[in-house]
Amino acid sequence: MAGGVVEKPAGYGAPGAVPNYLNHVAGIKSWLITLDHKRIGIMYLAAVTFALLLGGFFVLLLRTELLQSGGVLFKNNEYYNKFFTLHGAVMVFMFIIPGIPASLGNFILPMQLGAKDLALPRLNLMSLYLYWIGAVMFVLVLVFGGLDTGWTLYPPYSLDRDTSIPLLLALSAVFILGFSSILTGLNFIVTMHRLRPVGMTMYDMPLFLWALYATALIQVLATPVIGLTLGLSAVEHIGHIGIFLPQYGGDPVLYQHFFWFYSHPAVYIMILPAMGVQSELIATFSRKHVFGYKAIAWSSIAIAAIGFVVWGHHMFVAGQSPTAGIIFSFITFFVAIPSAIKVFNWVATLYKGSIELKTPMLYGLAFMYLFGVGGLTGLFLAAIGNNVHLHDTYFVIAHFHMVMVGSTLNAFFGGVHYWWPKITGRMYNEKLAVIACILVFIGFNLAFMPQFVAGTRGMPRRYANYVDEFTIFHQLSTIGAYILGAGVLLQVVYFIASLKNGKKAPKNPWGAATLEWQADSPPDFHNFTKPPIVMAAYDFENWEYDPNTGGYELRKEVVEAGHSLATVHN
Amino acid sequence: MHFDTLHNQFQSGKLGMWLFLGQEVLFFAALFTAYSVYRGNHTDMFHYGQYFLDWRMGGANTIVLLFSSMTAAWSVRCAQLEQRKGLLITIAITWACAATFMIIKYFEYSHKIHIGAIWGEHFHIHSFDELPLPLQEKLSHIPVPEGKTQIEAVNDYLGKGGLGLGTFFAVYFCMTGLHGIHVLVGMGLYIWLFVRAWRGRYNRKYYSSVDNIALYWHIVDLIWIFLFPLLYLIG
Amino acid sequence: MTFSAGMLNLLGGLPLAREGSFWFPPEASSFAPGVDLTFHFILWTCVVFFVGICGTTGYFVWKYRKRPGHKEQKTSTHNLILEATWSFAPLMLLMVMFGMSTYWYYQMITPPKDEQVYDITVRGQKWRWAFKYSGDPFDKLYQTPKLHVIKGQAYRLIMDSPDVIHSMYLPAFRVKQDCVPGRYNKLWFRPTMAGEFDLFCTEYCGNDHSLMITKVVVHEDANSWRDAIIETGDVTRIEDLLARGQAIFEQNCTSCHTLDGSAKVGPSFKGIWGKTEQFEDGSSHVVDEEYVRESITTPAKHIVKGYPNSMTPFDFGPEREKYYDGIFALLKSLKDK
Repeated sequence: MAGGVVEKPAGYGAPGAVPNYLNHVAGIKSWLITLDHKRIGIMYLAAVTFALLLGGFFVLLLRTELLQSGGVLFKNNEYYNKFFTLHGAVMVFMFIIPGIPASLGNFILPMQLGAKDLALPRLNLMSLYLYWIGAVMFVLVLVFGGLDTGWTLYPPYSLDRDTSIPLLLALSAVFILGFSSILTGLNFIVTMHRLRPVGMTMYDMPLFLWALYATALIQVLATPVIGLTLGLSAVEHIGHIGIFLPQYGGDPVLYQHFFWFYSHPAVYIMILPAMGVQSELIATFSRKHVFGYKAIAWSSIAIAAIGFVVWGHHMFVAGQSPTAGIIFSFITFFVAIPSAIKVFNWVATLYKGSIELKTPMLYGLAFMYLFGVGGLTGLFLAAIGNNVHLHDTYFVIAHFHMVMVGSTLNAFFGGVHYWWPKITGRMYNEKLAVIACILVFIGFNLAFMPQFVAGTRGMPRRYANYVDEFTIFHQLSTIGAYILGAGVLLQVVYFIASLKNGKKAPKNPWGAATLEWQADSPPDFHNFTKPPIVMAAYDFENWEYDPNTGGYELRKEVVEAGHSLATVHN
Repeated sequence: MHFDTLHNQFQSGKLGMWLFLGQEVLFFAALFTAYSVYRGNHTDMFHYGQYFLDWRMGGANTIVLLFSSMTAAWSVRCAQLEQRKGLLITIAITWACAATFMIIKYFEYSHKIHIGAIWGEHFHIHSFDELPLPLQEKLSHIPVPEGKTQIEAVNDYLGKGGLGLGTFFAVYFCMTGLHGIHVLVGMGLYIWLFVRAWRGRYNRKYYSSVDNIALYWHIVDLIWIFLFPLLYLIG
Repeated sequence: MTFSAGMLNLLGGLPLAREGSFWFPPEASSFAPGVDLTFHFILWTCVVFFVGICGTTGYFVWKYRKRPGHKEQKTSTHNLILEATWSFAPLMLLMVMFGMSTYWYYQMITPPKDEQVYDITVRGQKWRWAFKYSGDPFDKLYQTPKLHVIKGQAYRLIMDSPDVIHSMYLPAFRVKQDCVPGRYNKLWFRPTMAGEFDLFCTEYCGNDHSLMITKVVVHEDANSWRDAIIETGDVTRIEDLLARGQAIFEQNCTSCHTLDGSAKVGPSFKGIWGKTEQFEDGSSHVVDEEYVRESITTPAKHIVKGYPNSMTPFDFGPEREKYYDGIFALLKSLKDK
């Protein structure tokens, strides 16, 4: 959606304009066959934004329905069930998993390495096309009458049904989106190993890249399992082969094991890139070297690794053996350690900094709070005795929304605001951005805080109706969702407006020290017109404020020293 | 060109391929897990299911694949040494082995489908004489309830409501079928490679597709090395 | 707890404080106080950390805000002792949480051994619940749409489903267990408070999932419990069930099993219900619904010591639940008194 608008921004075609990746060649075709990671990143950004708005629209319908216990919108529970399924599936598979890595990651990753592109550009375009195919198939699910299985697609309910087309479409869509995700992850790992410039070790990479690296590991290693699971599900549905359906000799709980073997690590596919963005925001806007760089870097890898061995905590009450349950509970607590390390390090980074409350930093600070709530409530669910009570209630809903929406979506917003000047070459309206940020923050809180209490009091999830005592929680939550929705719409409005009327962005509006800020805004087709000077990711001393451009410029002595070092990548 | 050296580009492709193979392994790992779960839960089922599999055919296929793995490795060496003829011959042999594998597989599959030894609820043996001989011996004296024929009694015993061999064949066909698809993909890749080698595209500096496809072929081979004993041999 | 009480007063006028505390419905089972205590321990630990993190962040943001004359200072970029401390100190607290909650989980999975536990069969089915009671004091099999129990008595629920996965959730008891087709899951609890409490389905099961709601009624004494069940229950005569079980036995089992205690090819069914059987592989299990079902569908899995592995598995088809009800009734009637 935004892609169409960005395509020919006013003024870029004007004579004398500096050539950049947006205007060096024009036309729809030049976008469709591009191998440029920046254009692919923008098309991803447009696509995931569309998915976010679509999933958001669904949830507003759901929340409206829940204003009263009898429902206010739908005549039949079936509609509610279909919309919550689509809300979950669209948000998980089309927005939040590809969200930060495929859009911001695609654009920023090669630039932070000072490279011209990802290592395997054709593969990158292919993964974009796979994403589109998967997305179209999800839309077709709607056209063919929708699906009411829940995004988790648990058999027997999901597979033992008469209408095949929407189910098979959804299974194939997730399979294809998964493949797209694998290819992106693979590309990222190869790029980070092979295209780092001379003079930049793994430990010199910005923390955003470490987070993407950990994410990519999960994408490559966990996604195939869900691919296989969905393949088996499709075969089971068509051929009744007796793998998952009990009436043919299958085991429905085995499906749950397979599903969560992917989908729990997938939770970390969602949150790790957000943590990466957060590290950049906190460092840049406090003008401080990140505290405990190695701890943050390795905690990403630790989270990814532990994430592979905790899937059983989704099945505490499904009838798996109690011993297995206790072991999974025990391991799950260990996820808290690397997460806590990150948070403590971010706080310590602020110490004695010079903290500037620009919009991206506001999102960064909101992240500390929202991730605090989301992460800490995970402890209640890791505790097996309490999980029995809380499992499948609104407490779980509130917890994972605080992590996925509160933290990931919030960091996505932060990241988009942070890199928007670099991507589009325009500044957005700061005042409106602050208002939107505040709306979004209030919305998050009002939408999800009451759900925690509703959950502990026993409100089950996926309910189209509820008993009267939960009314107040649902109404508060619905109001919160509306406010959140208003904040997001406001963002869309001022971002689009900035493309037309926004102030021209300087090279480095924030004084950030990672390499992408040495490129023009928007960057040249080859990213850098002259090779970037490879330097420490968080050495803000190298940049000084230039009142003429309204941005930061490299200090003269740094430029001279940098060129004489000749540690330059070409 | 965004790599500083050709070597770097080659290494990138290779690293990408290794990661791809990593995800292939995980892909099959899920199936192997399903196999172990069902084997643990239904020991009998696997015991009886094995009567239907011919270890000689599986063994022949194992030898064919091992040999093709060798020629695949050889083709990489030929490409490095710029031996065009050797490259073409080794690629052709690898392809021929893959085709042989699929032909043997075809005979195995068609026989099972013919006698009705297939997946899930469709499992239904058509006639007693078509059962594997050792199984005929073993089942010859099972009691036949009144009003039922012998083959009905056998199907009750082996199929749904009994041992549930349908699930065994579901596992068998899923595992070998998915592997078979990978073999077919490999055959397609080797045709492409043959055409490019014919046109003389490869030399000592540029042979990364020969190398990567050989890597892929080794993993396909490796998966079969696990499938063969698990399905055909362990009693 | 004080926080709950405080919030309770604060929110006294709102419907949400009508019963229970701010966070929880009433504590109506023997587990509830322990689970809630663990919850509050985790809650307060989290509150301390959360306030600490947000407070420090807020303080830093204020103190080091960008302003004329203020400049960032270089500080150390890492500090091993500090980082090790804040990595390992929380670990201790996490282990306390794990210990507490696992203790209560252990209580939930271990029914009392030294007293009579009353068995109720639960069937979750699209989209209603059925609870079945048999044995003392009933001479028939009763099936009620609400779950009836007596305060202070220990119950064991044997749960299954004929269609899709359901999950029985009793918020006031703090317990939940899935009903999975093809297996029997179990759950035990002891109600400690008389009254009516919610019973929800918490595993999404289709169209009217959200209407699969009923109540658990905790009675003060056995008489009102019995009367309520007789009044509201559908009746199946135990004799009918027994006859059904007998017929199934005659048709399928007589070549290998007996009812009089004499061993044939397989063990006799006399007195087998509730007995702990030793198996060939060294493990052992109580003969109950789940074991009997398993022995019929996959007999080779656990062979009783001293007997051959020679039984053919059975599947009774779509009506299998009725068969099992008959078999269970038959086996229970042969129990040693």
